[in-house]
Amino acid sequence: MQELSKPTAWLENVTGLKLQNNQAYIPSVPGPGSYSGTNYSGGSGKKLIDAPDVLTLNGSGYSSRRGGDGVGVGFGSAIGGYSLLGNDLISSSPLTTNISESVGGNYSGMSGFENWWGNFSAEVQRDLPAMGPFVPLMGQAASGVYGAVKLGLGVGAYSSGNSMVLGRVGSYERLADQLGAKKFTIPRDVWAKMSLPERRSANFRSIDRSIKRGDSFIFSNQPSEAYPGSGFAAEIQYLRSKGINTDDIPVISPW
Amino acid sequence: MKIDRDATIKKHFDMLHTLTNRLNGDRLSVFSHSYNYLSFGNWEIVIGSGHKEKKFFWDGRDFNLTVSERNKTNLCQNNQWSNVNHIPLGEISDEELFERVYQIAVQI
Repeated sequence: MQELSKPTAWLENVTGLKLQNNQAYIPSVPGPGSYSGTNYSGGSGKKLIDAPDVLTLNGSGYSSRRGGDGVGVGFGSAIGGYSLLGNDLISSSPLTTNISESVGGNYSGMSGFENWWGNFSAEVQRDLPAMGPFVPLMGQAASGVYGAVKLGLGVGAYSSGNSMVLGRVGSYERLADQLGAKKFTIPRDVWAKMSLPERRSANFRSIDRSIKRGDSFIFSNQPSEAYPGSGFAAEIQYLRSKGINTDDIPVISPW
Repeated sequence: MKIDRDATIKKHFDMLHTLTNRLNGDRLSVFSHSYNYLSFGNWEIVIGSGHKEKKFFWDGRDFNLTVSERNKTNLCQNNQWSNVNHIPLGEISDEELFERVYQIAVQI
């Protein structure tokens, strides 16, 4: 976790979303760094859920300078390579509506932070039921400032079942369950009775269905982690044969 | 041949029970286990003795056995699984698979 030092305000030039730190968490007041109903509202008033891009905190802690009950709120995704410390958002982020939120505060100790976090979690979950999985990731910065990241996976494409997770066995099923996304599974006995071509065909049909529906794809592992000859390797190859650039598919590790 | 889901599931747990008993004779224990019939029959078993553990993951989709290990000195240190070894076994029987697990586990 690191304390963010800049920017104090940042405008994403595609979505028009404005990101500011040092903003208080005010559920009832739309605006930069606040929530608006079940959607986030950026400085432009646009809803993040409609945004063709993501703002990515990538797991970095975001700490408010206000201290006490001041809470900094940012937007982001756990996916990409953007850091609030200066990387280019547009070139590194996949097209997705997934968002996450990073919050933090200054506290005298971990127990203080945990108390605050518990209250904040309850508040967000009450006000934003559509947020879905609530995953606090906490850490301590060298400065003693605690930060936390919440993944707002319940908002946007990932929650409504219109995405499909592909990856190595053991991780893609878990991530799909966590995201409420589609996954390719077949009962053991059925799988055992199928030939390799039948297995591949069933696998590819599931991908075809997702493509036809316009689903987005998510990897639970880097493509480089696919074993040669594995189902995951075949899926990557198949996606490429369909003209899908697998480099653009976000990679999210299950938690 | 007709699919008998319940028989397949029961066989898995029977094999696990047998494995557990065999391992007990070697002062090893099955610390955790999960099984998913609906997802290719994947399973995961953690076997250990004291601070040493081995995790066996059976990938029923690609028929790989993944073995990793860790030493636990306390709750915070050295708890990452390491020495990950992927063993492609093909479509072997449950008996052969569990025998393989046993043979690797007793090296703990």
